Amino acid sequence: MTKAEYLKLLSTDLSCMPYGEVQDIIDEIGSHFDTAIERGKTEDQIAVELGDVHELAKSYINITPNKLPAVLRENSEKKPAPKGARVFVILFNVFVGAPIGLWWAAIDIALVYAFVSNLIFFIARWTMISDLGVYITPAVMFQISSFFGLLVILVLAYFGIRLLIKALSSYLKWNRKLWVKGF
Amino acid sequence: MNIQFKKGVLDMCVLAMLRDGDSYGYDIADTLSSKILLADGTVYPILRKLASDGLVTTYLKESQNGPPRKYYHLTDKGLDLLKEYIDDWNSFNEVVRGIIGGDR
Repeated sequence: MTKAEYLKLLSTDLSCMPYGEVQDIIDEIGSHFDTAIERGKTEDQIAVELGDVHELAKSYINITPNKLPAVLRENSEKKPAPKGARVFVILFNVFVGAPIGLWWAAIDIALVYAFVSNLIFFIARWTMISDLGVYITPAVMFQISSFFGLLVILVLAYFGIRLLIKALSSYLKWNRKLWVKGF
Repeated sequence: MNIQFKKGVLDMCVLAMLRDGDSYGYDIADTLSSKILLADGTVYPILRKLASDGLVTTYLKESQNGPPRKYYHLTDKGLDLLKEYIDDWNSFNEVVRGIIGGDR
């Protein structure tokens, strides 16, 4: 078998491997041929001494499956921290994330406070409604309207807090992704 | 000789050859195959595996005639592993000798 034939068979057998690796292997075995030729061996003799080409290909393929994940892991470990993205995350939090979040939380707290205090007033007014005499009708009307006011505040507070929690959790996820992986 | 015997110690032999100095594929293949009676090709996948495990590194060096050759260099990690292999091999050898020699 000639050098060209041997290398062709080898690269055919290795076609399941990445092109760059096959090229590397072909270069190495090709250079084995070249050195042996320099030392006075014939291509045929060298091919025989190298051993069965299919066996050689099999040995190369057998070491590859273990290698590939290792290489991938190495790459992901060696990836430098995304500096630009991290600076962006910090600045974005200071100037946008934190102010919006704090305002939002403040509004939610205000709503809860409004609900609780109005509920207490509402109950307090019921306790003295019997003393109002002629003003009993407008007082009852007032109580009914403030009851609906309470309902509105309750609904607003509920959705405000729920939205805050949801938005906060996806905002934190987004932050973490940027921090670890970059843009 | 039993091919399985040879395969088990080849990694260690290749590492040991590189301990004495950098070398290129043909040199390693030729020396090992003449001593252990192997196909010349056997050494190359081993060299590749050792390189991917970080036990050896490679570099290209001009040869007197023809294209540059790929040289292999033993890393510190490779040297550490080689020492471990040799210790294991020696103690294993002793045990096996004892067993096949019949002195229990």
